[in-house]
Amino acid sequence: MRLSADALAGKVPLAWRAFATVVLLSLALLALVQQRASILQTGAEVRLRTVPVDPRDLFRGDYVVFAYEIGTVDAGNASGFRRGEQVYVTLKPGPDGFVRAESVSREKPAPVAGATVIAGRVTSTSACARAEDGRLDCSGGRRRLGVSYGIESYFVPQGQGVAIERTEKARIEVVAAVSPSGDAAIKRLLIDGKPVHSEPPY
Amino acid sequence: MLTGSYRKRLDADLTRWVGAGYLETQAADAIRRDVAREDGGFRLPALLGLFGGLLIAASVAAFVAANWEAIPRLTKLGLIVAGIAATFALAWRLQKSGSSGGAEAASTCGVLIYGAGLALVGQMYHLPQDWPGGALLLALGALVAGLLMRSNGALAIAFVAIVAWSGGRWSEAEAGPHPGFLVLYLPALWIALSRQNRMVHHLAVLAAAFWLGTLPGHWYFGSFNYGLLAYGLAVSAAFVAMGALALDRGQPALLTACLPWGLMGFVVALNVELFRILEAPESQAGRAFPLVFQAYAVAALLVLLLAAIARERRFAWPLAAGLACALLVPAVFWSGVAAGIVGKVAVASLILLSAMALVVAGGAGGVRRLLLAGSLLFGVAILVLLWRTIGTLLDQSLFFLVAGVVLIAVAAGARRLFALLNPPPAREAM
Repeated sequence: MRLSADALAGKVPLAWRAFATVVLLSLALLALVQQRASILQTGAEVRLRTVPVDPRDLFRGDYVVFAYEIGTVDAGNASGFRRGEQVYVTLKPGPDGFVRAESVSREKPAPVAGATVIAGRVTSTSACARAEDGRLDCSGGRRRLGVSYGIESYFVPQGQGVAIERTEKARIEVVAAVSPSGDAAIKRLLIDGKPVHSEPPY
Repeated sequence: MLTGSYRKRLDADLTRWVGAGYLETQAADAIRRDVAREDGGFRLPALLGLFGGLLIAASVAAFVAANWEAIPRLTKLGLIVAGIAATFALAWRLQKSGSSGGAEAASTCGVLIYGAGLALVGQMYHLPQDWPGGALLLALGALVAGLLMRSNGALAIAFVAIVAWSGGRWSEAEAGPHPGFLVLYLPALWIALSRQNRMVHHLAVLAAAFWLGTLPGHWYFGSFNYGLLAYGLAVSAAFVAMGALALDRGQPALLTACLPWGLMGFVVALNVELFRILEAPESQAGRAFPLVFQAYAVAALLVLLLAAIARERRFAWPLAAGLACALLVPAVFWSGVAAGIVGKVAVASLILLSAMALVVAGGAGGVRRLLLAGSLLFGVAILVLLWRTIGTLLDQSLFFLVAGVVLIAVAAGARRLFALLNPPPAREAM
């Protein structure tokens, strides 16, 4: 079959094919790296409050899962959000320096001074809000969405995950970088205000 | 395609023929040597190399899991890229020196290192847990390696990754079929068509079966509907028809892999339909959604095609008849008569007919799988019918008597019947 894949590929010498394979595969990896690095380098910084839980991921080593205050967003009067839908959440810093979720929308809102827009995906359409002391408030009433932003997992050296998990929630703070397109990455991890982990771009 | 079991069977046959005087001992030995040479004793080094490569890939994966902070990130990345370059360079060297098995192992190892690299980057940069996205990147890389390096292992990994990606997106969306699947699957299928590796063939067929399974949509899996069963039956029948046609025409080899999986689905679906007539509430007519009709149309078309263009008619026609009988079974349920005794007899007869047709086709064509599937279906059907009496015991006895008489009549006239369906080769104008 002259139209078969192998016949067409066979027209190119093996050395070139092997070289092309290596280049393409490496480029895929490096593109993944660059996408993350650009967020860390050029993104706007926001301070986030967290609640960590520490599971074990067999394929990616020890990692910590963070849940954020901004993970539950008040949808107000807007309705019709579905699971898996991409949404944009506007964040404004509160009086204590931590950002709070102000509003959520399906389209990217126009940039406003002092506010950062972060992109996320709806994980649940009936989430419970978290009160100041961390208790869940499921009194219903207003519509609340659970949203994930891609910064919910953080890898730590083996064994240090438990230490972070055992730290009281109030003492952990995450500083994330948010790019103009809304992608976010964790930039710094602080406990008691002191930097514990810092992510360089490369 | 020579396999170990063929060699053993040939060996036994040769011994028998030499004993019967059809063949000289020297000729038999020459045949044995020829078969052994084609089979290749070169497999052992390649096999050992493959396992060695897998161990190396496992060590890289463990390295990832250890999360060794001491090495700077860029160095870790560099190591991964160097690993990929090294394995594909090795594959190139091995291919040049004639060891294609070794090149195959090296290419597969390269793709596995690339996969580990993806996981490593995910860990280094705290990427969100999007394993379908990771599966997509792995599938793309594996396809590139599978095409450019002619690696079957890489192609196999690609099929698995495509299914993982598509399955992940499908269950995330909880909606209809994932259209992106075809974007990657069709190129992979095109590459697999020119390969002889059976594992690749089976994976390609299974991946297609997976996607066809997602077509009804996520909502149907929440609440089972007998329309799904009819859909499954139609798809299985289509697979059997395609596989049989490919077997009959001799190519493409990939489509012949449809036969075993189609038969499995076929036998399971028919047995469930048989169980249905035993319970009154289950015998009610179900709902047939549009997809079922489309699947039926395709299956009917393929069955007709099988009957029309197959070369060995005494294999194809019984098989086509059997598939047609089976496709009628859901129709009996939809007409609503299955609740009554007439409908139950109709369903049971159709299933037994279908089983017998499979056995006949398998016997006539020398396809053991068909023989096995037909016998299995027949056996289970008889057992089920014996276990639960439909109607009265006298009805049951009459039913079995009629079935038995019909079969014996067919056996008696079988030779003439087969001669009718397939004239001797001398008279066939090709």
